[in-house]
Amino acid sequence: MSHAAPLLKVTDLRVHFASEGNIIRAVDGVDLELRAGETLALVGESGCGKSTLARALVGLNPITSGAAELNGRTITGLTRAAARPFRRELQLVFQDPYASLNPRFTIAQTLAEPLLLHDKASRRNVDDKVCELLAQVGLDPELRARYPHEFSGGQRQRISIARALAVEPSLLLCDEVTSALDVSIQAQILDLLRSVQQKRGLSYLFITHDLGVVRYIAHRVAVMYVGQIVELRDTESLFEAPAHPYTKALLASIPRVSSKPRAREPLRGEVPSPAHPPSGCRFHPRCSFAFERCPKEYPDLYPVSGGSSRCFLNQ
Amino acid sequence: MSEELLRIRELSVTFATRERTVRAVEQVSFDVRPGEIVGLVGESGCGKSVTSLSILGLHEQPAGSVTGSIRLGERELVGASTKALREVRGNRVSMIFQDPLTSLNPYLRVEEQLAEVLDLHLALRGPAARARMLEILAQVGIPGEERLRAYPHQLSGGMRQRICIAMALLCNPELLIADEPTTMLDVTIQAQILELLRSLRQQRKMSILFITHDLGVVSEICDRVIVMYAGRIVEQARTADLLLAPLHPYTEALLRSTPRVDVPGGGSLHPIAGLPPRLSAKKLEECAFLPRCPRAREGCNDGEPALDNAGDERLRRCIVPVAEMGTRS
Repeated sequence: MSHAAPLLKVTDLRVHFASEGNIIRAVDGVDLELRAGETLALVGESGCGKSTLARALVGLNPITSGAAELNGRTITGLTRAAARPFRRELQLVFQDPYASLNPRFTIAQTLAEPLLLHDKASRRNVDDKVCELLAQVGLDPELRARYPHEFSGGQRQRISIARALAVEPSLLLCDEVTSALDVSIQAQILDLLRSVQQKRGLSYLFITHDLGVVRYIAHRVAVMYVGQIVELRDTESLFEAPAHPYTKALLASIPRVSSKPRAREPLRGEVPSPAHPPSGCRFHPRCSFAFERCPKEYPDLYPVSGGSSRCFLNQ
Repeated sequence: MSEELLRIRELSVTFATRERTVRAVEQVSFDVRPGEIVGLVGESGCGKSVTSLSILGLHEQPAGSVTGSIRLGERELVGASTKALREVRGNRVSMIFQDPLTSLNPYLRVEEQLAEVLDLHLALRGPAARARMLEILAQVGIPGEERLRAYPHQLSGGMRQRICIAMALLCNPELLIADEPTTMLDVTIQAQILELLRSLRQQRKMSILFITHDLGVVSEICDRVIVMYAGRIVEQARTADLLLAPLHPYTEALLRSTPRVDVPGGGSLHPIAGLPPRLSAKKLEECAFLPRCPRAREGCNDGEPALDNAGDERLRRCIVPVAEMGTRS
């Protein structure tokens, strides 16, 4: 493997579902690359396909077509047995740590399970390993005999992160991991994720709808709209000069903490259904820059400074 | 200064659980003036929702014990009979919540839910009721009769919240209590709903008590802000003053722990160490924020600080000299 090869490479990935005679194009032709030690944020509104994409990568959603490679090895379309070695490499952390932790397991049991299953510890040293993991995520190892309900939301999210780290993954898929937390606790978790990344050289695919969090944690950002990436940029390029009209509208919609009220025009209408995506550019019915070409032709991703944008205006 | 519409004085709410007594709201006093949007801000468990639910006597059963005074115009609501509260609920004060799907009846079409309100509160039926429904739907940005026949599950989240707002407005309330009404919505839809609430306030001169944890939303919509921590008011000020120069270390810390979308790198984040305190009914021997406060000093553990006047319509519960508090860019 050459050094410049990406850790994760996703090529023309599609995830379609059949529902009531319609085809829901939840993910519809996504290309992505993620380097080792990098954080790529995946942003977009509800139903844009960001979570479906992450779940497809770990085999929780069936892939319709396309492929994903991890370190040059294909991880999609495998049998359960063949996929197993890759399960360890990609770990998923969810929004609600209460729903993703077994309430009948102590924290020690929750963390010991993956350690033993993936041969990262033996019966003899598993307790030491559990303590080590808890210390790494900033929890007192003395608490390991307790159950999830005895912890606060932020502490539970630390436990979920510890569980994901237990099997020494190379990529963490973080799906709205701070959305259920208060801001003061969210900041603690974001700092934890940053320091873990620095220590372990871990990569993150960071799914969130909060663009303030994105600007803080991500190196690059992919903006999704109705199953497709419409803009893929370095974080600061995106925030300083968004290229795609949808990204512009998204950034303009975010309430800012400022002492001066802003004049602005909210984006019209709502996100169209992925069962019936608009013709041509999928954003054209809501776009204030749309012209005659937009409903007729299908835009490509065109290069812009620090990345690419799917808009004819950037061609 | 105009006469206040809502006047809350020394409101305390206590819940008795099997293990202990929890004082969720402690000696809260504030006013809402006609046509004003007041934000009630704080993190989970700070007492903001309990405060708002007390206004209409809507606590879950067994109800908390409520002391103090809540006056709507000339009417006292604390200790009022169920019958008296019913005359206020929906007519003079109505509420919208975070999750419009759970506040709408999944078995009824939009039309039937709106009709029920009009029948019960205004004795409006038939064509008159229908005309009123269409009028109110147009005001919340839902044109046409088509949506009247829809069931809640057939509508998007933003559309459902518009229906809830329409239902809350049917009887022309003087006060709308909005409890995290945009928290579950996407930002572009949130922007639409905030715009709608602003324009409704303008047209109807209605007051809004806006409960949120999001200081960005506060900045967009509120005239004044009340910050709560551990069941207490810790700071109160006009929105711009509070966001520009917070006078309580908790408000300051909240602002410093929020990632900024308008600053390179998201700004520098300063998490607030530790967790909020467990609430009890015991009198505090120290400032409730002391264990987490970066500006703590001698004297902070010398009884709970009073909510003092800091001039310019500002209140704060802190002994750190005002001159030491930094100004935000």
